Amino acid sequence: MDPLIDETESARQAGHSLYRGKGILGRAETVLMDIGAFSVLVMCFYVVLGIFMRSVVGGQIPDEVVIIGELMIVAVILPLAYVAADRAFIAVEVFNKWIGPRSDKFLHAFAALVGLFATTPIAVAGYNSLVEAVMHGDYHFGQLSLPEWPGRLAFFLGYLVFMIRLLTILVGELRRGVEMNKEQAGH
Amino acid sequence: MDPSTIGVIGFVVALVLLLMRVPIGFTLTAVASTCALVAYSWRPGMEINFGRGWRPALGLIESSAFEFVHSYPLSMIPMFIAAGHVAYHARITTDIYDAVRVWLGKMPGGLAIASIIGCGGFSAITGSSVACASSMGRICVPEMLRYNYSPQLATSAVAAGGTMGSLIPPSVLFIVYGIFTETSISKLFLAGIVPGLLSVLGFIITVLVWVRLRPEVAPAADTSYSSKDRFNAAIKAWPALMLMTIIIGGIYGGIFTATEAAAVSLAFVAIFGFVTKRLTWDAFLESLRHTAHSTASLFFIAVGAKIFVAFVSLTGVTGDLVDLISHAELPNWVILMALVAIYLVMGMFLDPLGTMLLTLPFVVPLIEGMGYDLIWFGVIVIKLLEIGLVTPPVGLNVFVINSVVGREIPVHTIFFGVMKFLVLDVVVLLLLVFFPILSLFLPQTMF
Repeated sequence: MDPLIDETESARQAGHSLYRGKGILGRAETVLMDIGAFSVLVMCFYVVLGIFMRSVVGGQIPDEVVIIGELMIVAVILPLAYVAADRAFIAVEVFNKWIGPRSDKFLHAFAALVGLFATTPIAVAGYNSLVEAVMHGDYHFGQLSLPEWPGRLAFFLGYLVFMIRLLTILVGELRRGVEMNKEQAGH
Repeated sequence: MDPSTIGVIGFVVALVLLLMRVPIGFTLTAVASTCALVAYSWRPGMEINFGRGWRPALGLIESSAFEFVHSYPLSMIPMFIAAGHVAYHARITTDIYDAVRVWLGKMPGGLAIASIIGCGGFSAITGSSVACASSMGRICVPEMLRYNYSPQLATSAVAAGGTMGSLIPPSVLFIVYGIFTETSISKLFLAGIVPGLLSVLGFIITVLVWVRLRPEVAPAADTSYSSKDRFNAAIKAWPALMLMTIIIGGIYGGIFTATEAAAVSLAFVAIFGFVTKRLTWDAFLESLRHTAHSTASLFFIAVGAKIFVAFVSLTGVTGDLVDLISHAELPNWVILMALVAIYLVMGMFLDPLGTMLLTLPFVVPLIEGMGYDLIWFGVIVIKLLEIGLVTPPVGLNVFVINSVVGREIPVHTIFFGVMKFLVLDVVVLLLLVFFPILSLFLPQTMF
């Protein structure tokens, strides 16, 4: 029996490669995604530091729960637009085999439209909360009294870019649908 | 309009949108937001007035979404996912399979058994069934085919084995279940250990019986290993064992919370990878990007579900449902079996997270009302969702394995193979239903 090195190597090469964003929006999404990815590392560092301080030094790091919460917003919300551009949201695909290309285009456009319905209220609510946090100078209770606005800003920004991406998907699908109709009429 | 009616309409619209291939996160958020607006604007006995309803509706949406994500306990999800990706790149997950195949490779069906144990080991590091099937499928299936195993056995062993990612801790589904039902995630993790091991045992027995009845499906390998080879292979698996000790031992011993175990796991695999030079900086960054990608995709559904749950409580439809069922005076076991059937059917069409989040708002009050333990019920739900991962027509793991091995092995071949594994899986499920102690023993003795 040979060693497994070949399979492991091929497995690594065959791994799903992430979408590379193009244009201003694509690049912005990639940057937001990278910030989200980095925040996971920062979270890990902060939690491990907390364990170290507790078990070795006998102390505590300040506002661990608040800071991890803020980093979670960055890690989870900022990459949303990137995931939408990569069309990686989970859907029920039972009837895929029976769907023709025109219906497929329609369903993609419809999904983007529903997505806009879903994200717009969250983005509007996020904006309202951001404005409120800035105007009132809201802060988290804790040793550092950290301001609330950075987390609120990340939340709003993530959903705003997400909405813009869904809008471009919707317009793109509608345009392709119209072109497809014209081609069929031409034939 | 009566809030319960709005709730029922919302649920029906959500099902229609799901069937129209609208992503689950979009569906839940859009329906819940719209119905919450209607519910606040159209109070019973009053005229509809959106001016009155939009502000509380936006408040409900924002607080549900923001407060849900702004969470310390939920940070274990991205950290466990990252630990899995980094462990894969550092070849820690491969080493488990490599070690077991050296020990078992010569026995009939040994590679299939090694694949199942490898999947169990992978599950104890990552926490995602689909990631487990995808990663192990790339390694194990070509290896088995190289040794002339039947394609049906080779693919179905990994498809079935991959399902254990949800049951053996750490499990993303357990974390989400724990958050939504407000049960201890550490206890859920411990509750999953014995059922996970029972599932491994069931799959191994299936392979042994299959190979015994049809020896040609798994010819014995002609290579033999010395004791030194075996010893070295076992030693190579120490990082994986160390990780399992950190996660399970740390939580069981009360040394770490589950969130801390996730952070320590990620730190351990990264340091191990860099020190042993198995992990490059590029691979590490790629792992983190994959983590952010998977986390955002997963949380978008969870955020939608959180808003949906808030909307469902607003309408009071769950209370009505519980009243309806309690007035029907059905025995508890009938309700339980009906729930099992519902999960099995939904699992055939929906992904596990979607199934769980769609049903929990309705099912949890029912289970609590019947006096059942939510930890035990969590194990049952996850086991049912695991079964859904390999049942047609939308057995996600089967399609993952199919995409990994290519078109030479058709989907129906894998499905037929998986059916053999499902027989003992159902036996394990029944054992878990009728003997709750199997799930509850470890959580009851934790420190």
